[in-house]
Amino acid sequence: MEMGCLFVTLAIFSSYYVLFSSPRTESVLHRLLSSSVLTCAQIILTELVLGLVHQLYLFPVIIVNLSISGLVVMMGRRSVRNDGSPFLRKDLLRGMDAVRASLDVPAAVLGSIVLLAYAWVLVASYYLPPRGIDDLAYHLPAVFEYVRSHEIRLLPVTTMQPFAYPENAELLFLWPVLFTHDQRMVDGANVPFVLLSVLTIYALLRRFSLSRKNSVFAALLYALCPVVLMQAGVNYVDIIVSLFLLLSLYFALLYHEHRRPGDLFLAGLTIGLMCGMKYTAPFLALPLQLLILTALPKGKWRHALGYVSVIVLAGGWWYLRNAVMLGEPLYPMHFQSPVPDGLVNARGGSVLQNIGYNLPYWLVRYPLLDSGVGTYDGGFGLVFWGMCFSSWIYATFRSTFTFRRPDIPKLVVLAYLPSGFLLLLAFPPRVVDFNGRLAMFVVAIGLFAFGEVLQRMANELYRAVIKGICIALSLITVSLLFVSVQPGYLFGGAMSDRRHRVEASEFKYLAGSAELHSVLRPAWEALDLLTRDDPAGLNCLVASDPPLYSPSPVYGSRLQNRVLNMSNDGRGPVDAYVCTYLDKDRLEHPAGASGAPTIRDIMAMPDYLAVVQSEHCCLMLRRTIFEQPEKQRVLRAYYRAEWPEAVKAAERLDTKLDANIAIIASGEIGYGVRCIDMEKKRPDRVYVTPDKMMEVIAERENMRQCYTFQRPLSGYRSRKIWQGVYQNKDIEVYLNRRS
Amino acid sequence: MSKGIDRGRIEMLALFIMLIMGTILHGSSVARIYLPAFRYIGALLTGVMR
Repeated sequence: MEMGCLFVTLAIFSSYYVLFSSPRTESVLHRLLSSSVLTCAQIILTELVLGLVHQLYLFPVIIVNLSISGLVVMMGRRSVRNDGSPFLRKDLLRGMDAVRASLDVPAAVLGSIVLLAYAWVLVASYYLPPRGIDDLAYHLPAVFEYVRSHEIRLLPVTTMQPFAYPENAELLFLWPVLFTHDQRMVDGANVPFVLLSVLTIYALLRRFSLSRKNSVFAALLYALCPVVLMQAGVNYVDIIVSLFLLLSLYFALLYHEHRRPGDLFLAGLTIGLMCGMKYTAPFLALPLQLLILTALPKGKWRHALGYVSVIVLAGGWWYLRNAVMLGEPLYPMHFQSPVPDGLVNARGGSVLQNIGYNLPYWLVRYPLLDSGVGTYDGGFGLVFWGMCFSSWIYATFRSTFTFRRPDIPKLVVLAYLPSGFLLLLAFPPRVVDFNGRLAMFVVAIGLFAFGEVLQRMANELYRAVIKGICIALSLITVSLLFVSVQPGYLFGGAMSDRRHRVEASEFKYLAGSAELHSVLRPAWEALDLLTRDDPAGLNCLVASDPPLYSPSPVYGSRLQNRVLNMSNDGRGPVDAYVCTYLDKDRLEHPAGASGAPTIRDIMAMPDYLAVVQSEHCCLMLRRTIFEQPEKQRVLRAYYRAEWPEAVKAAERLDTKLDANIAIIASGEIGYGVRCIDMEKKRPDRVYVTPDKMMEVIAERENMRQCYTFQRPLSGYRSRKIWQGVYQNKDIEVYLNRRS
Repeated sequence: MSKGIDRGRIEMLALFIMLIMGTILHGSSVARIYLPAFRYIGALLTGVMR
C-alpha cells in the first residue's frame, strides 16, 4: 500500500505540474513549488471534506483525488506549450543542468551528509515506533482516530485540550496512514517536507540573485540544523509550518515583483494552509502582508477578495468549528489574558510582561546556550549561532544603511528573524528554554543572510574556509543522532531482533526513548503483542493521570484497537484498561473522567486481570479474553522473553508452592510463576498488582490463604516458607492464612 | 580607487573574522552538549576496532 500512496501522490503532483507547464510559468523551480503546494492543498481539503461527511475511506479518497487530477490535466493540456516540444524532457534537462551548475565540492559533500542523515532518520522511522511526546498525546491520536472512524470531528477536549488545535498538518500525516493503516514509518512523514524546505530556501535565495552554488550550500544547511534534524523523525508540525511560511514569503515576493494573480492565489493558499496548522501562524503571516498589500492594484477589489477567500477556504474551518462548538475560535488559547506561570507574578504575565522578563536572559545567555539542542524542542545549532546570526546582523545593517526602495522585500525577509525571536520571548518564562521549535523559520532567515554574506565574500580562500567550517559543524550536529533520546534514533536492537526473528512489538524499542515513554512502555507493548495479529482488536480505555495521557500507542502498531476515550461519550464495553499513573501509591481519578471509576477501582475490578504492571503503568485485560488460548500463548512467550530470570526463579520455586493456593505478586516473580502455570496448563491463580493493592485483592477474592513475595499480608497469619536470591536481592515467600 | 578596494578587502576580512569568532564563542559555550555524542562515537569505534 506504500506504493499506492506514492502513486496517487505522484499523480496529483504531476497533474499540477502539467497545469503549470505553460510558457508563462517562469522556471522549473517555480513549477515544482507551485505543484507541491497544490498537491498538499488537494490532499488536505479532500480529506477534510470526505472526513466531515463521514466518508474518509481509502477508496473514495483515491477516486476523488484521481478525478480532480484528471480534470486538472485536462485544464492543463489547453494551456500547455503549443510549440510541440515535450516540456517534461526539457524541464528534466534544465533541472539536471541546474544541479550540475550548483554542485561544487562543498555542496556535494554537504549534500551527501544530508542524504546519509535523512536515510538514517527514515530507517529509524521504519524500525522504531512513533516517539514524540506531543505526537503520542494529541497529534497522532487524532490521525489514528480519523482513520479508524472514517470521520473528522472534534475529539473530546475535556481530556486533551489540544484536540481543538487546527489540524491541517495532521491531515498531511494522515495521508500515508490512510493507505498503510499502520504506525510504521509515520514518524518519517516530515522528511519530504524538510527536503521541500531546502528547495524553498534555495528558491528564495535565487530570487535575490545569489549564485547557484552559494544558494544550494546555504539551503542544504537548513536540513542539518539540530532542531530540524530532530523534528524530522517525529510528528511535530513545526517543520511543515515553517515550510509554509517560507512558501508564503516566496509567493508574496513573486507577487510583489510581477503582480501576477496566480502568485497572489498561491500566496493566499499557502498562508491559509499555514493558518490551518497552528494558532501562531496568523501572527507569522502579518509581516509579509506588507509585500502583498503594497502590490494589490488599486480599485480591483476582486483580487483582494479572492486572496482573502482563499485564505479562509484553506485554513478557516478549524476556527469556525471552534467558534461554533466551543464558543472560542482559538480555544483553548487566551492571547489577551495573562499566562499563569508564577515567575513574572503570581497571576502570570501578559505577553509584554513575558517579553520584558525574558529579554535580559535571552540577550545574555540564549545565543550562547542554544537551549533545547539535541531534542525536538529546540537548538538552532552551531552554524546558525556561529555563522548565520552574525551574517544577519551584517546583512541587516548593510541593507538599512544603503536603503533603496527596491530593498523592501529583502528587509521584510530579514525582519522575520527578530519576529521569530519576539514570538519566543512572548511565551511564559518557564517554557522559554524549550520552545525554539516554534520559530524554526529563523534558521532559514539566518541562512538567507549567510548566503548573502557568502556571495559578498569575493575571496575564494575565505569562502572555502567558511564552507569547510560549516561542513565540520554539520557533521558535529549529525553526531547528536547517536545520543538523542527526544527522539531516539538508535535502531540496532530492533534490527538485531528482526535478524534473529524475535517476535516483538515496535513499542518494545521505546525503552531507550524519553523517560515518559520508557516508563509506560510495558503496558503498550503487552497490549500490542496481544492484539497485533487480531484484526478485530480490542475496546480499550485509557485511565491516566493527565500529564501521562498518551492514547496513540493504545491503537496498536496496526491500528487494530479502538480507544473509547476518543469517542464522544467515552462509553462501551471495555476489553482492556490501560492505566498510567505518576505515583503507584496515589491511584486517583484519571484525566477527563469525573464520576468515572478511579484507577484504584479499575485495578480492583474482579472481571479484569493485570497482565503487566510497573511503577507507572498497568494493563488490565478482561478475564475471558485473557483465557483465550492464543492470548495465553502470546503472553507465555512475552513473559519468557521479558523476564527470563523471573521464570528461572519461578521454576526453582515451583516445587515449594502448592499449585492450589493463589499468589498475590507485586514484583516480577509473579510473571515467572504465571508463565510456569501456563506451561503446566494450570488454572490462573496469580494476581499481579501494586504493593499497596495486595490487601484489596485478597479481600475482593475473599482468600482464606495465599502466597505473597517480599512481605506478609496484613490481617493474615503469615509464615515465611522460602528464602532465595533474585537478581542479587534476597527474596522471601510467605504463606498467609486468614486468622 | 585603491582606497575603495582596500575598504572592500577590510570589510571582507572583518566579516570573515566575525564569522570565525562567532563560531568559536558559541561553539566553546555549547561544547559540553556535543561531548556525549563524541564519547559515544569513540566507544563505538573502539568496539568496532576490537
